[in-house]
Amino acid sequence: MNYTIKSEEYLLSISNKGILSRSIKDLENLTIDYVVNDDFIELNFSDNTIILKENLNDCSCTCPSSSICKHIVTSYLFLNKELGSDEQLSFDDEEIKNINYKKIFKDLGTTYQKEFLQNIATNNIPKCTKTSIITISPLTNVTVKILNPLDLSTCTCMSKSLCKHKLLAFLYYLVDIGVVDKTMFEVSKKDQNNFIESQKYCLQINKMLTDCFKIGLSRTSETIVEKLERAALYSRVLELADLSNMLRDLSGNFNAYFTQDVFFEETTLLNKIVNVYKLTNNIISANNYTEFSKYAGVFKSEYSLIPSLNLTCISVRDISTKSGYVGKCLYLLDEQSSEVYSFTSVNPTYLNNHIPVTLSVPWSLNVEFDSLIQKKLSIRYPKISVDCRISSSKDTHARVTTTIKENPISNDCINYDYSKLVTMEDLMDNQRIKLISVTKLQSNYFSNIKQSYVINIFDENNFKITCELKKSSDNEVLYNNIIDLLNDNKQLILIGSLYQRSNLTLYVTNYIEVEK
Amino acid sequence: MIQFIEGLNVLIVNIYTVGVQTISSEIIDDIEQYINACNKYNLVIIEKDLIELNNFIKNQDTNNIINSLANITTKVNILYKKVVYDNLLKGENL
Repeated sequence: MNYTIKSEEYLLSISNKGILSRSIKDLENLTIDYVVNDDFIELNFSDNTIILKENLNDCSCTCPSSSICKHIVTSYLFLNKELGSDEQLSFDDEEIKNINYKKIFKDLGTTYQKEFLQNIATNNIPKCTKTSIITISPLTNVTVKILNPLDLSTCTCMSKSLCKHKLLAFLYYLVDIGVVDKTMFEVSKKDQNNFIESQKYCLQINKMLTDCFKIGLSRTSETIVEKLERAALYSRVLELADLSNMLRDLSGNFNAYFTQDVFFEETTLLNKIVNVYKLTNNIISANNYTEFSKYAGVFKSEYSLIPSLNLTCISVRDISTKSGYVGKCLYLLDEQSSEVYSFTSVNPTYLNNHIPVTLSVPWSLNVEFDSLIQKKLSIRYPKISVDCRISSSKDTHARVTTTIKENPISNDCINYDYSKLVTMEDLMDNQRIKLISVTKLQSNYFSNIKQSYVINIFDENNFKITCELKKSSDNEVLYNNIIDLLNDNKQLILIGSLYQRSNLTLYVTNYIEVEK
Repeated sequence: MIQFIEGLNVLIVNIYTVGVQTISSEIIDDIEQYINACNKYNLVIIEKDLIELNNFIKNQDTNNIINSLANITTKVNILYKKVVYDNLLKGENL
């Protein structure tokens, strides 16, 4: 049997850090006997017999471990020194080239299929790093290592089976090496019909918007609000995610115009009409399904599985909505990435107003909701949405690791310099939960026009952020507390969603008092 | 620059408010003024679109007016974002 060197990176991928470092250490004091046969190599040490074959899946060890044990890893490290040639093990494309990519594509499921087709249509393929293994991130926060043999491939979601991330990674790699392209994925008859139906429907919407442009806003009938709502609903049936969301948004804007809402802006309405108009134009002019799927978009409400998280609960906020829901929102900080995640638990009260609400604690935690504050949690199999909300999935498990007595937030996660919060990517559109340190209070008042409590704050370089709290009984208490504490010269950290429009606006959801 | 972009935005909104079918001669005059102002700010891409829009209006080519308006709106929006970003960075929201 010919032996090729197995790199430490490869050995680490098939085992783990602990096994590899133990094997390296063991190797220093071991005496190993070995025999090279035609199709296998036999090694004897530490009362164990190890048989190594070309295919890693066929290797065996007499120890009780059912997976890749330290003896197998030690054997490879030993053989690297004994039989090693200049030839390093490189990733062998043969196995992946022969996989049934059509079956893999089918197993992906509709959401991932659409995302995959959309990405290859726009040439937005994740970067593949090729060494003795292939490293690829098919989704944000998820990294897959493709190994020979393929079933030993690993994913940061920790799934031992062939998870959807691994399937996606295989397909992206096949696209990257040019084995498959966008034309090779068959579109089901249902999707094909959907495509034709969608184009017909977009023509109708396009005509409706063209009429709007022709007659002008001042003569547009109020019925457009309802028409757009219906169009949004039907677009959802046709799985046109982006169009459905945009139409609903547009309907809300028209409603704001007809109800003379104080926040209504004609420019915003016009931009939204133009965006829908252009999207429908693109869908109508799509020549094939792949091009069409690029514009159809995917529903973002879904949660995706990410690697384990270690989070600190920094704040809990009570929620009560006008529509009759009461609950709490938990803010959790990831100190490594400075990202703030949220978890919301609400119960309906509109039927049983007199019954006190008991909130279920998520992720099999055995503590009360309120006592989670200042606890560090280790969360396994978390599922998150694009806006960093964590799902209450039954697959997710968490445990409290420690309780923090002092300030739970490290300085790296707090924004002291407001100018650093300005980014071109997030301008106008995105909102992010941020932690903002308040140094100076400039002014505070109630805005009759916005019906909001406004607090203007400055950083040390006199860069301003306008903090707003929409008028409600809860926010009035929150606003008064913040002002009282700031007037008493206390150091506060505000938690809220940051918007970048013509100025920086923070919609405050809670605050934390810290030692100066 | 920001006043120019905001002004152009108002002009487009005005066209949309009255409707493409009833564009007045004042609006055509305004468009011509903005075409001249584009030279001052070196905004060739928008200037080209405005000239095109002006021609479509004169020819009463409704469908092309709408497409042209949509293109100008998108470009003005991108330009506005860029100017706001520069201003925010300079701290001009003080």
